[in-house]
Amino acid sequence: MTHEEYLESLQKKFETHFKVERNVMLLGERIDIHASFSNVSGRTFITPNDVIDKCESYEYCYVKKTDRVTEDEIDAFGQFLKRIVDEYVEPGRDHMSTYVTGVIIGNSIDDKAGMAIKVHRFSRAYSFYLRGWCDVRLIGIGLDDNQIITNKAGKRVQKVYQIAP
Amino acid sequence: MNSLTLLLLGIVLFLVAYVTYGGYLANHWGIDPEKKTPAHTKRDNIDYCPADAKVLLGHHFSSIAGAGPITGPIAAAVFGWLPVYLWIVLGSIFVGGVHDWGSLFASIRHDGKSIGEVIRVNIGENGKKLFNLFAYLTLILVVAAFTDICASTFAFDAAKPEAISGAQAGTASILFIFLAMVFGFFVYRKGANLVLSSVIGVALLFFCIWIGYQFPFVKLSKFGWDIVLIIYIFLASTLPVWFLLQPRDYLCSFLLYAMLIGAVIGVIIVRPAMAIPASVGFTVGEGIKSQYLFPMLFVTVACGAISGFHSLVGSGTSSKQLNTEKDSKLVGYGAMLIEGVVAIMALIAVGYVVGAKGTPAQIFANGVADFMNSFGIPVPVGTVFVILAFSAFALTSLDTATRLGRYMFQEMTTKADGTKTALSNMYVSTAITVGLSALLLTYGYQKIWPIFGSANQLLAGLSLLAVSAWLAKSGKKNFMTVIPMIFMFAVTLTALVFVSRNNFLSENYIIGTLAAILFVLAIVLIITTINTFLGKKSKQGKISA
Repeated sequence: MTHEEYLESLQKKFETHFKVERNVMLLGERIDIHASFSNVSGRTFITPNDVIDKCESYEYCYVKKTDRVTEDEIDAFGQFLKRIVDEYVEPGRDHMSTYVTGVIIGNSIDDKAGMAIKVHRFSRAYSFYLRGWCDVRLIGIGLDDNQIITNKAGKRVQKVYQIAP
Repeated sequence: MNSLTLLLLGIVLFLVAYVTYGGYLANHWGIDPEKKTPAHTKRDNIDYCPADAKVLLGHHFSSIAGAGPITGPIAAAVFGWLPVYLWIVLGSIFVGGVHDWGSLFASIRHDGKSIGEVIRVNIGENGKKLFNLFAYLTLILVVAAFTDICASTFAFDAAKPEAISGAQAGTASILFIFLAMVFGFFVYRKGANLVLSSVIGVALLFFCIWIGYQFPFVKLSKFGWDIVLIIYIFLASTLPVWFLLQPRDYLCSFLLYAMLIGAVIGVIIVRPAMAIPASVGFTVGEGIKSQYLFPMLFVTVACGAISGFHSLVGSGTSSKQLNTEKDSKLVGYGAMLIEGVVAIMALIAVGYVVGAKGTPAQIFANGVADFMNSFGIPVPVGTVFVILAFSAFALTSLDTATRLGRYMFQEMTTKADGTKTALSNMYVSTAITVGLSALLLTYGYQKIWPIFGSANQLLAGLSLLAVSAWLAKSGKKNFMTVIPMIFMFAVTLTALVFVSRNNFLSENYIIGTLAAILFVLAIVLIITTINTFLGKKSKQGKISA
C-alpha cells in the first residue's frame, strides 16, 4: 500500500465521525490529515438550552507522512504534539478528556524510532482532574511490513490504524 | 389478603392494560410505526440517535425512577393498603401511564421537544418565570425531604446502641461513594475494560456492604448526617458528572436490579399476608393532625402513580432516541407500569408488619430483608443492602434536584441581557439552594412530602393540559387526558389548601407559607396556561374565519 492509498483509507474512516482537513500547516509543521472530533453529552431540563450538567470529550488526530520513520523524526513529532496540547487544549468547566493522536507514516520504522514511540509518554491533568485530562497517543506506521507501533496510550486505538490488505 | 396475590394481580392488570388500553390509545392517537421519528429526521448521533427499544426502556426507567415510588406508598399506608393499592394500579394505568406516554408522543410529534418546552414556549416570558419559580420551590422541597429521609435512616442513637442498621448502611454508603469515584477513574481515565471493571466493581460494592455490616464505624447523629449530606450534595452537584455521578449511577443500577429480583423472589417464597388494615376510612388522625383520603392519598403516592417530573426530565431525552413511534408505548407507558410494580412492592413491604416504625427506607428495608431471608440472605445483611439501595436512589434524586435547582436559580438571577450577577455564580446558587433546603430540615420529611407531592402533581396536570390542547388541536378526542388533568388539578389545589391550613394551625409557618405561595402560583399558572391555549385557539379561529 502506498502513502496516498493509506491516507485515503484513513480519511474515509475519519469522515464518519471527524471533521477532516487535508494538507494543513500547524505551528510550522506540515500535516497531511488533521481530523477533529468532539462529543458533548449531558442532561437538560425543559429546553436544550437548560443544561443541568454536561461533559465534553475531544480528539484531535494529526497524520504526517515521511519516507522512513527515524528517532529524530519521532522526537520532533512528539515535541510538536506537546506544543499542540499546550497551545490548543483549553479545559473548561465541563471538560472531561482530550486525546491528541499523532500518526506518522513511513515505508519502514527504524528500531530506535520504534523504541522511542513505545516509551513516549505525555499527559496533563487539569486542576487535579476536576477539569479533566489530556493524553498524547503516538502511532507509527510502517507500510512495507504492515507494522504498527504505538505508545501505551495509543494501544486503545491501534485497530483503527491497521493497514487493510 | 396475601401479598403475592396483590403483586401478581397488579402485574396481570398492568399487562392487560398494556395490551388493551394501551392498544386503544395507540389507535386513537394514531401511533404510526412507519412515520419517521426525530431520531431519524434530525439524527446527529449526539442527542438525536435511534436506540433499541429495550435499551431505551432501561434508560428511561432509570431516569424516571427514584426513591419516590418507594417513599410514597409507605407514607400513604396509614390510609390502609386497599386505597393505596387501587391508586397505584388505576393511577399508573389511567393517569400516570397516559401522562408519560402522552407527553412522550407529543414530544415526538414536536421534533423531540420536551413537553415542558412546549408549555414554556406557549405560556410566554412571564409564564416561564412563574414556572421556574414554581419548579424551584418544588425542588427545594425534594432536596429537604430526601436529605431528611437519608439522615434519619443513617442516624445512630447512642441511647439505643443495639439499633445499628442505620450506622451499618451509612458506613456502606460512604464507602460506596469512594468506590464509585475509584471505579470512574479506572474506567474513564485508565481505560479499564468495562465488563471486567463492572464485575470487580459489583463485587467490591457487596464488599462495602459487608464492611459496613461488620465494622459500622460511621456512627453519627441525625444532625451529623444532615451536615454530611449537605456537604455531599453541594460537592456532588458541582463536581463534574463523570467524577462521581455517572459511575455511582452505573453501579447503583446493579444494586437496583439485585434488590428488585431479591424482593420479588422473596415475596413469591414467603407469600406474606397484608397485616395492616385494608382501609381505615376517609379520615386519619384527629384535630389539626387529621388527614383526608382525598386529596392526601393522591399527593402522597406521587411517583408510583403519576409524577410531573417524568414528563419534564424523562421525555425530553427519550423522545429523541425512539426508533419508531411504536416503541413509544413500551418506553412511555411500559416504564410507568414497571414503576407501578415497584410501588406495589413498597406497599407490600410496609403492609407486612403491623405498626411498622421508622423512616420509609427502614420500613422498606425491614420488609424486603425479611422476604430475602427466605432464600438465605441474613436479615441484618439484607437490611443494610436494601437501605443502601434506597439511599443510593435518594442520593441520585438529591443530586439531580440540586443541579436543577441551581440551574433555575442561576437563570432567575441572570439579567435579561444575559449579564451574570454574583447570585448566578454556580457555587453561590448551589449554596443558596442547599441552604434553603437545610432550613426546612427541622420540619422532617413527613411535613414536607405532601407539599412536594402536590407541586409535583400540579406539574403533571400542566403537562396533561398541554397534551390535551395538542390532541384537540389535532382534531382528536382528548377525554383520556382531560379527565386525569381535571382530577389532578382538583387534587393538588385542595391538598395545598389543607397543607397550608394545617401547618399554620400547627404554627409551622414556613411550611404553611410555602404551601400558600405554591397554591397562588399554581392558580396563576393554570389560568395563564389555559388562557394561552384558549387565546391561541380563538386567534386561529379568527384567522380561519
